[in-house]
Amino acid sequence: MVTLEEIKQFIKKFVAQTLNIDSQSINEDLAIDASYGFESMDALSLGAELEDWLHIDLDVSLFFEHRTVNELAATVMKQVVE
Amino acid sequence: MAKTQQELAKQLYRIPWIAYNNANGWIEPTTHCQLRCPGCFRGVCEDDHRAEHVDLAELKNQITFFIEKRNVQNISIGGGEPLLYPHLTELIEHITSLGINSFLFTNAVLLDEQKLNELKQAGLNKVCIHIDKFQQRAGIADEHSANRLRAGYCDLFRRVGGIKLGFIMSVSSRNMDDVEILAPFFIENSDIVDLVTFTVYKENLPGKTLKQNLTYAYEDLINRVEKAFDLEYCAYIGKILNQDIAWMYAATLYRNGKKKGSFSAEAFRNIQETHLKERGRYLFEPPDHWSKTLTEKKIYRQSVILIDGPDLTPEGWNLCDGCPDSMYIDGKLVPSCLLERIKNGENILTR
Repeated sequence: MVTLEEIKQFIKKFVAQTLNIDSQSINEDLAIDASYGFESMDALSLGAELEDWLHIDLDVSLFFEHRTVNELAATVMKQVVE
Repeated sequence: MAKTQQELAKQLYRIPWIAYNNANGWIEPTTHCQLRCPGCFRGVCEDDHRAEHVDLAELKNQITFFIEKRNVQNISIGGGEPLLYPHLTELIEHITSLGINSFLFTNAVLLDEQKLNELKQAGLNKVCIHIDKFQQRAGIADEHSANRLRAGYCDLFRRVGGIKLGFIMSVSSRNMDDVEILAPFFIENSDIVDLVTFTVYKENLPGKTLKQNLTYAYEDLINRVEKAFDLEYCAYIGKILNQDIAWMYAATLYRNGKKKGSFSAEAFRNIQETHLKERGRYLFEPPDHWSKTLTEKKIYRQSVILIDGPDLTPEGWNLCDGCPDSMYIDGKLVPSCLLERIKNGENILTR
């Protein structure tokens, strides 16, 4: 089964590629929208990529209610386990 | 038991737009129109209606005001029928050159593939088409035939691509039941229909009073739309004199034509506040643009907006708080739906 760390890395890689920044520079406790300019459209795209990777359905609001890498990864992990 | 407007509002995000910090501004290049829609707030059905085009320079002044003083992200172009305006393409090019989105509100009688491509080239972002069964269009006798006409425009927009499509229609007690016919059509076409707007039928022209048999409880429309579309509302615009709801918002995501879910109030709030922080402006609808990734994965967003415009009360006009569809006329910011009253001497300002 996928690990929490793998989900975090997936999210950071997607954010980094979208914003053309170094994934190592992303602080996992900062809001990726407010702190890095990750837009609502980008968040929906990330959601779609995660769904396809993990073969699960994710709530559309999840990416706007959990806005740091740590919060988001933990919530996604919870849904994977469920 | 159906929730009251006050109970509904407690669960939703109140959109914080105000007169001078707002996502949208409204312009009307012309009062010419080919149709005579019942309840037209520009009075096109009236015997004394005066049809005229507005100077392009005046419209550009209004747009400058909206950008500099109202901080808009979006300009809505209404009327009259804007496709009858001879400088429409130039007007849209001007808005595009200023980095602002443009929405066209039209009856689409003159909208063919060539015209849509021309407007797309000019930078138009969205077309919102008003079709309803009371317009006395040839061949439109009921909502099913109206849907066939709408379907033709859906196909046109699929062919042209790259420009959003919305539909708008008014609702009175005469056609309230049609929501059940409309919802499946719009869900079926959620790959191309980006916005569905229902407006409560009003007759607010000077000297007009709405016939009692056309009225209904707004909560009834709110509940019917929620059920028929199987959506959840996320946000609203209030009214200025009490706790009533003026605009209701829902944004639902579909994947391969199947509902994924609606945006929550918290999600809508976070998107609006982040956009304001990052871009310095409010968004009209989240998200404001789309990505190739989402299109490739057949994921589409469809907004549903319900609008209950101003009512005259003993305390005065109960306006929409921070009306998005305000016009800048003679140095004043005014609600577009009451413009004929303002022209008639009433002092009504957007608040």
